[in-house]
Amino acid sequence: MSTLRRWRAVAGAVVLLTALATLAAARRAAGRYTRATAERLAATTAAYVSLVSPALRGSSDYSLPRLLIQAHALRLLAGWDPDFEVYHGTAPLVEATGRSLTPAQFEDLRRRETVRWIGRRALAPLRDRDDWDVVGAVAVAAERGRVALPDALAVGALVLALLAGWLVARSVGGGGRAGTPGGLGYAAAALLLGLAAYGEVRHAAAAGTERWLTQTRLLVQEAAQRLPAADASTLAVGLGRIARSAPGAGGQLTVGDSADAAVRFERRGGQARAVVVARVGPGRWLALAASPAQAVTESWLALCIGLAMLGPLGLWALGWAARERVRPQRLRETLTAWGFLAPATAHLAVFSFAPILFALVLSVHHWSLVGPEKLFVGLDNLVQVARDPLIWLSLRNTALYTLQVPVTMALALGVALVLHRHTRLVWLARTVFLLPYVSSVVAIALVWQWMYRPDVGLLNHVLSFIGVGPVDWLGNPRTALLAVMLVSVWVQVGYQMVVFLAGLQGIPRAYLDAAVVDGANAWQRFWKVTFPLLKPVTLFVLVTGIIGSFQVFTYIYVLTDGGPLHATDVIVYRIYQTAWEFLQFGYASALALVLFALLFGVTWAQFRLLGRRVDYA
Amino acid sequence: MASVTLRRLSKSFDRTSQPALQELTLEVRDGEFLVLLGPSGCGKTTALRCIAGLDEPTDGQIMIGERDVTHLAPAARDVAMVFQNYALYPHLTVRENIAFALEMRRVPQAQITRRVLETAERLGLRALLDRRPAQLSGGQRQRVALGRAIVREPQVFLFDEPLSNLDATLRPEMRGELLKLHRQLRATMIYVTHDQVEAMTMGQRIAVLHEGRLRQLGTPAELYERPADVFVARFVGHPGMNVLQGRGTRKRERTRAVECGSLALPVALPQYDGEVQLGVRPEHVALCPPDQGAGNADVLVVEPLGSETLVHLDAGGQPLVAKVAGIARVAVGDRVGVQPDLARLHFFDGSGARLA
Amino acid sequence: MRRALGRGWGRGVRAKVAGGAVLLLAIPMVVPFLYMVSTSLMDEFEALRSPPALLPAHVQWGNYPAALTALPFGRFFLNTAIFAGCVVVGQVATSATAAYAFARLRFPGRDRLFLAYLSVLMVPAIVLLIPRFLFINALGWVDSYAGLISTELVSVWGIFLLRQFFQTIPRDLEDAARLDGAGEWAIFWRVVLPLSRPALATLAVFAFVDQWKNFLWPLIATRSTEMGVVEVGLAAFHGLYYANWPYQMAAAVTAVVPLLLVFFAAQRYFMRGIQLTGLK
Repeated sequence: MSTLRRWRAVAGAVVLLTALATLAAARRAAGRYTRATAERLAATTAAYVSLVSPALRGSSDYSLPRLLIQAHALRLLAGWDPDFEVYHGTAPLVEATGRSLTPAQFEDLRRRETVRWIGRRALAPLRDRDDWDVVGAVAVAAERGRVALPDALAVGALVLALLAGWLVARSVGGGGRAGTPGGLGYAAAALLLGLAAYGEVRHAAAAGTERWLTQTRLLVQEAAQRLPAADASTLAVGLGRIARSAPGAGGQLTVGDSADAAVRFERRGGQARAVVVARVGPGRWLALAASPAQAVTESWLALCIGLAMLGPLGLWALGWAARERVRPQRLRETLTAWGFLAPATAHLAVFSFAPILFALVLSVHHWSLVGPEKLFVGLDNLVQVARDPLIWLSLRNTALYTLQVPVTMALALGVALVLHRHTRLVWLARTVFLLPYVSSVVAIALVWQWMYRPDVGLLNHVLSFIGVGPVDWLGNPRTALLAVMLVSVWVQVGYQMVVFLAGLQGIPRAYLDAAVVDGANAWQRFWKVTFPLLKPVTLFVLVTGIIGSFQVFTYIYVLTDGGPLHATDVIVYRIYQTAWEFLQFGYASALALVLFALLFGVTWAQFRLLGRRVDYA
Repeated sequence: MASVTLRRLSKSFDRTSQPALQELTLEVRDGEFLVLLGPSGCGKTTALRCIAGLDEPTDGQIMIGERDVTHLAPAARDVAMVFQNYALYPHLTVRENIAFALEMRRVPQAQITRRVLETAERLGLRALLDRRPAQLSGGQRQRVALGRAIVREPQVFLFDEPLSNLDATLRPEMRGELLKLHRQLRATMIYVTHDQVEAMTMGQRIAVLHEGRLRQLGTPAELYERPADVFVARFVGHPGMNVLQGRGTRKRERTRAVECGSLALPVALPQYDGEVQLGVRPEHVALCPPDQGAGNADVLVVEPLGSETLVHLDAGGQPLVAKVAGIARVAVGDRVGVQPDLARLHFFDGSGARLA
Repeated sequence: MRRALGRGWGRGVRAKVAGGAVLLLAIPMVVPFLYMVSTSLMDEFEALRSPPALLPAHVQWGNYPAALTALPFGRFFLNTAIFAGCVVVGQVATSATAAYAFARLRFPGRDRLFLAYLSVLMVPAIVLLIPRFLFINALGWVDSYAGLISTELVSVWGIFLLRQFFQTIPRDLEDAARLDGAGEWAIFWRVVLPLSRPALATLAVFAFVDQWKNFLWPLIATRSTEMGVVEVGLAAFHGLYYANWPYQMAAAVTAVVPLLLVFFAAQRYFMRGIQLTGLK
């Protein structure tokens, strides 16, 4: 029984480690927000100092005594509480006896001109009045202590998860199976822990935004007093630099209305904003806005819950393994199997299953590559799809285009039937008919475009012999789609023929001989024997043909670009343009899912209507 | 060399279907040639695969010598197996096929070469070493499969119907060779077959399996002379034993006669009355003119085999086969007298178990 | 007797007529290829003549070097070869291991997991391409080999194909190897893979041609000329040299030739692959 005890010890460790890892990840995330706040405050303070400190005459550098006074004055600003330091060159001004920067650190700051970290302090470059060179720095220490203790909810969830986990871990290898109340209870507790951990992250994000807003508000108010009296809009422009200085904060300064000093949240133009109002003079207010960090924390939510759920998942796997320990060979085989599956499964998880979920997420958002914020719009994208006449047009074109499938199939089946008995011809014909299928798609599109030339293309030349006038195949909206379909037939017929040939070879000759004996003629033999027996193959060709046809892209892209007048605009081309030319990834994803649903429905319908009694085995 | 012990071995492949093995307990002695005999689906191959480690038993224990190998991997058991279809690696030459196991065990190359040559010599495969299995005849493949097992010098040899894919003419020869090999190697061998001729001619002892259970374990003579139940009685011997449904007629505490269809057999049963199953081997049934034997029967089918003739009879609704020497002078439809050898009758109770 | 003779004769004629019809149909299958080659050797203005010239009056071999250096086609070919080569290696490796587990190892949930794999085949490529592009964009892999190759390394079709094949290998061979002391990896590597060479070759050939012909993914996953592949390069060339058809056809011929070489060399595997997927 000592092995069982070992299993249970491991289970206990899993419970403990996943719980702690969840909290640690949350703590780290919270720490990142705290540090980001320090970075922003450092940059903002530098902008403030640079705005209010007069320059040395005849130079763009600051007057050192005035800079010294400003730095000290800042320390006395009511409500201003960051632990900060201002450097001129490498020399500290506020705590004159404090450690100065090393020349290397200062050089680095000058060269990179972005915030960097030294120990616990964020160091922002202080630029000269001309915004030309870096002449000093402002350091702001990251806050300590604020997030030292997890809040009550997190502690409660931790205790609960550990308790539930301990109970489950204790019974690992016992008679219980997955899905027992204990296991579910632990899963629920772990979920709660994940949510509590995320709550901490979100809280830290919100606190960071709020802190930057309240502190920056003080700087704006203070700076406003230094500037000559002006109206609010002039001040907003003059002080705008302070608001915009913080990296990633999305700060903005606009004319505002009176309000108290509390931070408010609002939505404007679909964008969530955190706003605080600064009084910059009698009857003059400025609104200081920032994009709230807590609005884009979904990835932390996924991480926290994912980490927390590793516990129940691990215990479930351990429980299974412990139950199976009486049959170690089976256990070994399972582990080996997962070893063999690992590469493919990991890849599919990352590059197929996750993308499918992500596509769902995308489809309910406005999502572009630029702009950090991804706006949730619910089903608006789908509504837009339904309202967009171009989409309907492209769907109609796609459906029309799909009509090439039965044509190709009829041709392919006919050729296959003829070739089927000609063993000598088969080899040569298969090779010739497959040429287009194995060739470069773009090259084929090019040569067809060349042959479709309106004036003297090869096709028009040949047609002129039978009295058909020159046709602008790809330029005329009435023929363009037909022209592309013809190329498709030409490419696909060989492939389908080979499939049909294989199917025909699978039909035992005895059936046909029996039919001959029964007095059936060739026509009857085909319809009564061959065709029914070929039904599974026909269904396969039809289904794959339609699936492929719905996704046609390259021919359209090269031959017509969807034109003329959207006459060949098909659904995948529409998705491509929406995503990679208009950069509307959310809308494109919604469109792609519509295509998925359509294809799924069409395939399902085909199997329902045609797939019955397909199996004669 | 080592003995093989199975203790209450059970195996089911899924929860719903009938178990393939039910509490099989069996000891194969060190150096013994034991045959597992039974019809297809009786569990004999499953038992063999469990011993090999290819299947994991649901319950029970397998010992090789003093070692519990129930959950060891096949490689760790030191057993070799010859498969029904030989399972030679098609992409390797004969030499590589024989050497494969040694390579897997990281035997030094020089030793591999030597042992492969020795084995090939012993089995007469020298000239074939560089051929591939596809270029060999059935008998040659059989030898390679044997060589692949022998070269490892394992403690236990397992044979899974190794002769069933051979031409009928080659089988007696291979049987002899296998027995010779057994004498030379003195290894423990377990041999699975459904062919009772193989079993009777080769096995030192035979274990008869049916529906996952051991029905009888004994020497060929014991199986023939004292079958433990109706199943073994019918399965061993060719054709199998006649089993007649009989009813004892009581006379003063002892059954004096058993009536089976049209036959009335004057035998005494020690402690039974009522329903009884009576077994008699076809070779112990003699034919005589009507009304001169224990009863009369109608001839249904006559199968003259040359040295002997099988006569299928209907004895009052009960089928009965008689094996008579030479060509029997009877015709279909004849009525003949039947006289079983009363000293060689077997009695089974209603459930099929042997009486006394 | 007479009737049988007559039927035989009728059958022969009918078969000949049908065969002739098929040959007639085969002509349009090859004409575009011949016309492609012929145009690629024409003078730029000869190509635009009316009525159209079928054969070049003077063969212009110079079209080839001129067209292939107008855009760095050498680089495109190299990129395509790296792309297709890596994908072939990756798909064969991942498909073989996964297929082995599905075909030969027993573990809980195996069939459900396999169904989940197969369900990926149902999803249209474009649905996956958008999130995949955003992924590699977030990783900074756009316009790099990593981005181009990484998403294509596993093929569910390949797993399916190899699983079907592995299931036809007699189980006794593996059991024999197991008794011979081979571990699962040795069985896979020394018994199953050598026996599966035709199936592996089929997968490799299909993976190679599929990636060579792949257009949409390289179009969105790469941007610079240095990272271009043949198909995308050819489309770009079409845009740049719109009026010069001989140049375009010369480039097209060059793009087709490697594929046809692979096709002729590995025709057996092509047929097998198409037949296997069509019938299962």
